[in-house]
Amino acid sequence: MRTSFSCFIAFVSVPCFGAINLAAEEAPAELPWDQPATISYTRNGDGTSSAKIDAVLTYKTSQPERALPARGAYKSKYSAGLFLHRDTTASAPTNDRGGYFRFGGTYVPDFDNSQGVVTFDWAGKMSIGTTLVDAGSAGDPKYVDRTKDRQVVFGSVYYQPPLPGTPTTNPRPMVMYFVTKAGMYSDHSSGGTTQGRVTGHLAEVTASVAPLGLDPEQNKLGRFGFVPTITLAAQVQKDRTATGVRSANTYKLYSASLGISFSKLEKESGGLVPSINLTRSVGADLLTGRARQSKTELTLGFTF
Amino acid sequence: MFQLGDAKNAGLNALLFYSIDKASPYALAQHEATNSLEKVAEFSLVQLAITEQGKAVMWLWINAHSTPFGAKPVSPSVAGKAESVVDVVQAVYATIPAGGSK
Repeated sequence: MRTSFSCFIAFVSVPCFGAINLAAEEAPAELPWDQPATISYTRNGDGTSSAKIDAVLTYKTSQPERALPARGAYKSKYSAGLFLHRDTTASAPTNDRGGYFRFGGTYVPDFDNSQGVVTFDWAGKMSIGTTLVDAGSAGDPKYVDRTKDRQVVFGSVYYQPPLPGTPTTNPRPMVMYFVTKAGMYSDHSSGGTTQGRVTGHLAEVTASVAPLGLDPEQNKLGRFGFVPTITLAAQVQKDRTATGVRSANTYKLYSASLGISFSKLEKESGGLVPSINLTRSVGADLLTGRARQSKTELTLGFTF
Repeated sequence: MFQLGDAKNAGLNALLFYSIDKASPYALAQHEATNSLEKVAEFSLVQLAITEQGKAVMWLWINAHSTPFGAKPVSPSVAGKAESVVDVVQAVYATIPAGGSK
């Protein structure tokens, strides 16, 4: 059972103007709720502006960890929640909201410990809600609300390659890890000119690199330590069948991000801890209602 | 103040070391300098290059296999605060009732 509760509010500028961010980490700490939320306000160079909200309120629970006969270990997890993804960008608006139930598990195999770190995860997710879809014609988009239900099942593998040598108390080894995901989905939209269901396959690869290691004590900036992480991700969703008036499409989404998390070198309480994230993403995502678009987001945050 | 030397349960110590070795990309057991729980006790988890997913691996393995040694699963709120090998050992031993260690 996860017990963290966090709230993250950010103002984002594209291109990079000023930004303010408020966050409250781990308060209260003992509730099984997980609530990452981002609220962004974007002001463009031409004077236009848009707002973006991504919020998922989740209740999580899990079964006790258990040893498997083949020396593996397994833990199953369940979660249910409410989601809201909204972007008021005029050319590619998003307004996806509803509820979901998710179940899955993590299996840790008893592979040779000198061969890196490996886990196998799987999950099934069912959601129902309302989303904004383009019911217009080519060159003349018309966005309308439609009821959606979606089902997704996928498996994923986490792999962290082995590091040579032995650890030291002042390390800066480059750490990298990979997550590959594959699965199937079904997406149903009711009513009007977008009625129908598509089913398809999805695949995703994420590579993360911490070029200066994971220890903030080794990368000092004033009274803070910092850990930069570069993440590259690519995903594809390919419709295999389509019913009603819908047609089969392929949705691709690519992203690259640089995140720098700071932490206090001394464990005093109080004060603000900054974080920075710069993300460039291109493409569409059927399962979050993201229309095809390219965007760059800079988030400057402060955690207290 | 808890000291690693207070941890007298050899079987549980072996499990803890195995779990940390499983979560770290270093081949800890294969090097003379790091092949026991006592020898890695000076390190923090990030110094062992253990990521957030690595921490999940470590706790899943510990909680799945520690019951035969008299320990109970460590709650996520306690596990989430462990930053070093000593923190991990202390958190697991704290679940053993007085006189319950085998």
